[in-house]
This record gives sequence, C-alpha cells and structure tokens, in this order.
Amino acid sequence: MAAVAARALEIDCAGRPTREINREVKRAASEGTEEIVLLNPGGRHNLCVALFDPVTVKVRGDAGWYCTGMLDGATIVVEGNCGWGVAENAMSGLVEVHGNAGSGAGATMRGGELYVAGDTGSRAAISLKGGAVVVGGSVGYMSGFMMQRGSLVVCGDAGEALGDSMYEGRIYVAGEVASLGADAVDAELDDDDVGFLRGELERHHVDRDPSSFRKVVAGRKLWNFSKKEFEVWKTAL
Amino acid sequence: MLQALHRRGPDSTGVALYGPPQGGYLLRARTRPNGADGEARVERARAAIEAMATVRELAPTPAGVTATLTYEGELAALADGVEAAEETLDVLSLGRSMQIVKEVGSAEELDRAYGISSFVGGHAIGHTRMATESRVDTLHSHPFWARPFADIALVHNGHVTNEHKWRRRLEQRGHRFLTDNDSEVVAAYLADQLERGEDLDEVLERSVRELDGSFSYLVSTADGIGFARDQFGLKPLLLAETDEYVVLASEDIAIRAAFADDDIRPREVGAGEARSWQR
Repeated sequence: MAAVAARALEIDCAGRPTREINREVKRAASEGTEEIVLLNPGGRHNLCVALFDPVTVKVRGDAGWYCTGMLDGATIVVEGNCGWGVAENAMSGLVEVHGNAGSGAGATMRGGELYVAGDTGSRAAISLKGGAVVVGGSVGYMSGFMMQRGSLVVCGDAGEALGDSMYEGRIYVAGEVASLGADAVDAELDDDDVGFLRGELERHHVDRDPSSFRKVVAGRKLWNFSKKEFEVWKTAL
Repeated sequence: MLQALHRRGPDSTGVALYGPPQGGYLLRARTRPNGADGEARVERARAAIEAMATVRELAPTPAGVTATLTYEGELAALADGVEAAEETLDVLSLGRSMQIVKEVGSAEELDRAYGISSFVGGHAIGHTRMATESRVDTLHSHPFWARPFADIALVHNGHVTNEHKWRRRLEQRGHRFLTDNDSEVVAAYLADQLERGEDLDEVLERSVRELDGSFSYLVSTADGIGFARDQFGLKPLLLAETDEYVVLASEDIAIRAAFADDDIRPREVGAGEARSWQR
C-alpha cells in the first residue's frame, strides 16, 4: 500500500544543513505534498533549488543566494528578502519575493515568472531567455544585459545601462531610466504591450497604469558586425 | 554575524571596536610568534611602549598587550618607535576610542580568546578573511588600521588592482605599510584624505572613481561608518537601516544571525554607491 503524503508540511531550517532541507523538500514534493512551509530560513543560500514538482513552498523569512535556481514547475513564495541569483535558470513555475532581491534576479531564466515586490540589485534579468521578471520597485545597474527573449517589467526606476547589448525581448519601465545601454532603444507601446502589462500588474496587485510604461527593445545594430558602424561597436565593447 | 560568515572567510577574523573615548590613546600590539613568551613578552612590550609614551594601564592579551597611554606627538613616530624598540612587536591599532582585535582562526576562537562579545560600544566593523593574494597571518588579516591615523579602520572584500599606484604615492609622502596587502593601502588612502579635512562622503565617492578593481569596503572612524562599492558591483554588500541601527554585511545570513526577527529589508547597495553615517 502506497503511503499517503501529507498535504502540508512544515520544515524548521534552524540548525540543519541546507542539503538535507532541500532533499526533504524534493522528496515531499515528489510524493505529492501540496504545500511546504520553511521556517527560520535565516538568509541561507541555495534553498529550493532544482525543484521539479508542482508544489508550493513558502519561505517564512529571508532566503540567501541562488534561491529556487533551475526551478521547473513549482511555486515558491519568499515572504522576506532574497539574495542574488534568485530564480536563476528557471524553466517554468512562479517565484514571488515579498521583499528585496539581490543582483542577477532571474538571470538566464528560460521560462516561468519571477515577481519581486521590492527592489533588486544590479543585472536583473541578465541574459534572460524567456519568461517574465516583474519588479514592483527599482532595478540596479545593467539590468536586462544581453537579454535574448522574455520580458522585464520595472514598476520603479532602472539604473544605468539598461538593456545593454540586448538581442531581443522587451523591457518596460514605469519610473526613471538612469541611462540606456549600448544598442537599447525606445519603442512605441502598442496594444499588445498594454494588455500584457495589465495582466502582469493585476496578477501581482500592482497599482500602476499599464499605458504609463516606457518600452525598451534591441536596436539590432549589434546583431551583425559592420565596419561602417565601427563607432557603435567601439562603445558596445 | 562573523561566525555566520565563517565559511566565506575561514582563515582569520578581526574586529575594530569603538567604545567611549579615553583621555589618552588606546594601543593594541601583538608579539610575533618568534618573540618572547609569558611574563617576558609583557615586560618587553611594556618597556618598548614606555620608551615612547607614559603608560597609564597595560594588560596582557592572549598574544600581546593592550595599553592606555598619555602621549603628545605624531602617532607615526609612536607606532614606529614602539616597533623599533621591540622588533617582535607590531602595533595593531592606535586611537582614542578604537581597538582592533584580529587573529588567525574563526570568530568563535577570537571571542573565546578575547571576549569581544562582551564589549560595549556604539559601532564596530568586522571581517572574516579568505586570503587570495597575501599571507595568512595576523598582520595580513582585517580590519586594517589606517596607520598612523587615530581611530580609522577598514575591512575590504575584493581586489584593488591599482593599489601599487596609491601605495607608491603614500610612501613618497612618508607613509609606512606593514604588509603587501591592498586593503592596508585603501585604509591609508582614505584616512590620508580625511586627515586633510575632507568630508567622508566625498572621500568615499571619489574612491569609487580612483580605485580600480573589485571592492566592497567599510571604513570606520571615531564617530562614524561608511561604505563604498565598485562601479561594476562585483562584490556583495547589503544594507539595512532602522531608526535604531545601521547594519551592513556581505550576506543576509550575517544580518539575520544578529537581527533574526526584525522587520527589516536588507537591500543590495548599488554599483558605485558610497555613503556614510555619523553618530
């Protein structure tokens, strides 16, 4: 007779190695547990990495670096703040951070969604390959750097060199942009953009007018090398 | 906080502690492992310090001495004079309110030896070190006293690639360094400008442009603390601020070790950001 998994599970992280906690989370998730609550995370690193089952994990406090990396299908809610590299390389699923996040939030994400209610450090959505990174506050320097697909939505301000060397994808900013990066250019906000933004803002209960966002995309000048545009390359590199 | 960061820096641990100002100077010195031991160590240190200043109080520490002095004159002459009088003695710190305690080993070991957790004061900076370029010993560990400037100390994470330029400039002006560590140069570079009456915020902001490489550093003075982070934001630094305190650390794990349940939102400081607080 198969054991029936508990529908909900609480794990107290205090005094336990992270590897053990992550193993327990993975085991419970694979056995069909629907909700897991992590108590006393204390800002520790690598929580909930490589979670492939459709479980909901609530981190009751701060998480450290690389939280929820390689996520595929789960929903993770960090009720406090989060260190750098949150949702790095996520494939699908949802990550919500109620506080601030560090640098490289949503780095190289391929799918799924990361929502940070507060601010992020530098390089949010760096090398984004899909999915959406939505930030309720502001993002730091070089956000959207070398982004290739997907969307970065910033409800506050963006730091210097936004969208530097981006290949593709869309960046939306409601506040001030300190400066655009190499080959990042403004674009008209169309109905599809407004519809997308409205959906994202409603989903995360952010009170912003979707038509007030500035849209930034790739100028595509760096797609192919051209001797005639050497100046463009000189600044980009 | 420092024990929480032990795995970042398992080599050495140190703190610069600021208590109420003393009438005279607080000196902390350490005898090298090849120096005298036991009573002889303390007596030789006392003699070296007495050769330069009036000793009001002197007590042994696990590896050296701490003393309260009456002294009028240049601190460079005092520190150099003490070290010249007893060549196995190194002056770790000098100030009216600052004491630097640092050793090879963990924060727990440092606390066991020196009882730093019972210290009462207004502000402090600390560091756990993982050496990358220079030797692992007490002198190369952080915080660095901004020799010979009273009460100024620095902790640094990173690698300042143009340190030799500033080292040479400061040496030409008569500064003496105890180590080949880049962080010791940054400490003197900042203190030298402060000593000339410049504002701490301006000095910190200028350092972001004048220092190359990667760095997140904290500098402490008799009445304040400041930080700067390099323009690329390569080294981590978090800040949380309330009406009661300001806390900065490389990782949240350290902040939460001290303020587990406080409703604070530590945020990563921006690339190229610099700021300070005065008491």
